[in-house]
Amino acid sequence: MGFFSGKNKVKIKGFKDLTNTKDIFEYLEPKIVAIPLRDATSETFDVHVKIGDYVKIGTNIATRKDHFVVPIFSSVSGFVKDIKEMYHVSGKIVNHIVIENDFKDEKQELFNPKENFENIPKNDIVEYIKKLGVMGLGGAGFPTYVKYNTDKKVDTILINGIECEPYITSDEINIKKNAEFLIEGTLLLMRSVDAKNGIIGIKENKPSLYKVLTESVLEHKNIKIVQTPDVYPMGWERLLLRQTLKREYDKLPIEVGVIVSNASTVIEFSKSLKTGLPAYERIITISGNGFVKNQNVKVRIGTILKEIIQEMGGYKGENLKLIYGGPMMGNTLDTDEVAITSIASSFLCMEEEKKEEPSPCLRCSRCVDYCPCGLQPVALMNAGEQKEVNLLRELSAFKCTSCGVCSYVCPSKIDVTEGVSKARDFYLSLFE
Amino acid sequence: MKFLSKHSPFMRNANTTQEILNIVLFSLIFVLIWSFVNIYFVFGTIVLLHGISMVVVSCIFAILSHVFFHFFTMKKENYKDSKAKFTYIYKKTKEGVPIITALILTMCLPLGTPLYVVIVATIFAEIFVKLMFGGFGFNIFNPALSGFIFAVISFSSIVSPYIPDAITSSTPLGIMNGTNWGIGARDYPNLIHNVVALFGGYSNMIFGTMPGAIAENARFAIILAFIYMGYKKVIDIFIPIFYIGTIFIVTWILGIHLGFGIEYPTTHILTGAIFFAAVFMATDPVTNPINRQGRIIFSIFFATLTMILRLFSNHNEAVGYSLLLMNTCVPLIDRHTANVTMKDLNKKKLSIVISMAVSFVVVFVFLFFYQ
Repeated sequence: MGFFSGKNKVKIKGFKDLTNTKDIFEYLEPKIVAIPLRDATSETFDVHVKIGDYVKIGTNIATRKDHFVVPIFSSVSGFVKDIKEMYHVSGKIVNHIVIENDFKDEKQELFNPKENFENIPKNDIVEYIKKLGVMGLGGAGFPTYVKYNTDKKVDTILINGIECEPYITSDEINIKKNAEFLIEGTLLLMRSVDAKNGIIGIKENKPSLYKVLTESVLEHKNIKIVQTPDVYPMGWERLLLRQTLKREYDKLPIEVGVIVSNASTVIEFSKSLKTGLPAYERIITISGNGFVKNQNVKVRIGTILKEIIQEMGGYKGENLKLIYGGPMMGNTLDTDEVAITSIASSFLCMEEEKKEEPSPCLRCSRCVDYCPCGLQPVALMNAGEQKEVNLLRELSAFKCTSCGVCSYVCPSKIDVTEGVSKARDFYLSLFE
Repeated sequence: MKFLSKHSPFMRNANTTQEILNIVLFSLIFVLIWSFVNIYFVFGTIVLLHGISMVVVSCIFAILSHVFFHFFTMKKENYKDSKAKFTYIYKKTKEGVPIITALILTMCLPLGTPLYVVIVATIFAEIFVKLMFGGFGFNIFNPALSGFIFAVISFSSIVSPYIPDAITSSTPLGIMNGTNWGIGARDYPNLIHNVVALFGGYSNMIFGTMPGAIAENARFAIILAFIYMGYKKVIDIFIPIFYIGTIFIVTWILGIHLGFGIEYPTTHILTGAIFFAAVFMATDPVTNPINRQGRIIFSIFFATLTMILRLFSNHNEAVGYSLLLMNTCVPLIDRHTANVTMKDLNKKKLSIVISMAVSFVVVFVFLFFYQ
């Protein structure tokens, strides 16, 4: 960005037109769903059902019980068939609650649907977020109620609709279809923490989305739509805050009076308030040259990915890698028998290209220049290989977000991100 | 269905190291051809042929030293047939970038250098400075520059800017160094004008030939190469700008102090290897600091050292010695400019100002004690 700070971001071809102009494919009648007992990093859950129980859409089947309390819900009605270990999108083996769908779609509302959000008392809003188990849908899955349950002074709610990873368009589609919900939800969240301003950030290469949003905020002067450059990783909240408000924080945006929420999170929250049901469906992007059909799909949470892919025509090509998440930060999956989680936004399948042998590091310092965190990736990688703890601390190893920019820009084709992530994990493991 | 397991990211950009090196190589060849054309028109065919043979010999021995080094150090049991061995040596030699080093080295040497000196310097540069440290990317010192300094120190009487009967032995740098750049001679205000006039004026210094190193015959081509490489983002343009800029400002003030005008700094930057070193040697990514703040501090201190060596010692290789000294400081600079966060930005600007101030103070302290 500046003269000394380097560019901090990189322009990447988006491949968004593969999916964002097509209609949404619907696959809403899975035979079974498997709800994973893992969100974000936690696997400690209280399970409220046992095998053979009858559950409805919206039945609380388990609750996260460590330092955060997050309920999770059934997404179909039917009998609990099994509680078994399955492969999870994060790559770990996790307990799943398997429910057999009876296709009756019986619903169990958590509260009476709210028609008008203005009648909701200010102090109850956070309570509703907590009751609905809303999680940040940007990918981290951090419980949303924790952010809004704050005593600090908040002046701005920043809604993140950037979606900077290539290929993924589920947020874009979701915002376009549900702009009203987004605005209403933003106003509600602003009221809950007495924030005066709301900002919705989207990329400048989405003019149709910008038009839709500006039309729907016409009567709300305190919400601003901000267009940001089409660069990666613009959707990282630190960079988005720097771009839109020119503020810097140390650990959390709340320090400078801002709360950042993903656009889809807000949409799901206001939808849930309207229906009284927790989020049980979501839109995921299925894209990449390894799939026959590239499209956004609306699915029930817990649907097995394999069934969706079969419904869409399967795979093509050889040497495929199946990626959960975006191409920059996602992780590969060994099998497609994984359940869709509530925070999964995309699955990509790409053919493995013939990779060049990495050549020696030229010290061209492109990784340093482009690193959004201002780190020295190659120095970190080498320090990690040598296990130099002091040097890792000096180079702030803990700051790395594994955004993948260093590997992307490296002209020598070195796997810098992999090395830096290992170095960071090694460094952080010393403090556990 | 079986899927591959890989670490993110799954997209790479199209840039390659080879592309970067090709741009540098192209720029070097452009500068070389420009100076050869100049040499041909001023000094004639025999001098030109000698220059070309220097380049060719240097390139051949650079490649040969890589081939022999890898042949003798390879673990032969790992490579069964001769084809595998050949592929290994070919790959390693290509990775080692021998040609660029050889070209930079020959362009530093004066036209009258005997061929055996070129050969010894090339072998020293490739084997002892580059390969012994682990090959391209791991060398601490700039290999071409080290080879040049090695040749100058070991063969000081033979490495001279002239070929008998063709070129005069005096260079502008030599004459100016002989008079200590006017530091001692306040009563000689026309010194600079006379020297510049002796060598055909400023236009000849920029566009024409100049007795001295091969690269000194193509200053304008070096400027063009700088613009091209800067546009292609192969080099950090702020290294040459801050290096030449610091020299210009320091000598300007010094010139006012000595009673000279703007011609004093202009002559300073237009003599010797300052342009070539700034564009092709100081910007060598392997041997300069890793972030921009470090690189600017590096350039400022490089300029300071150049000034001190040039003004207060009689060596003609002030630029070369100071760059070698700065190469040793790179890890230190890297360490102290490690963490770039937005909060530190003011500190960074301050550090540049401080190093600039230190540069001035050092030069004038030297001047004070000298006089």
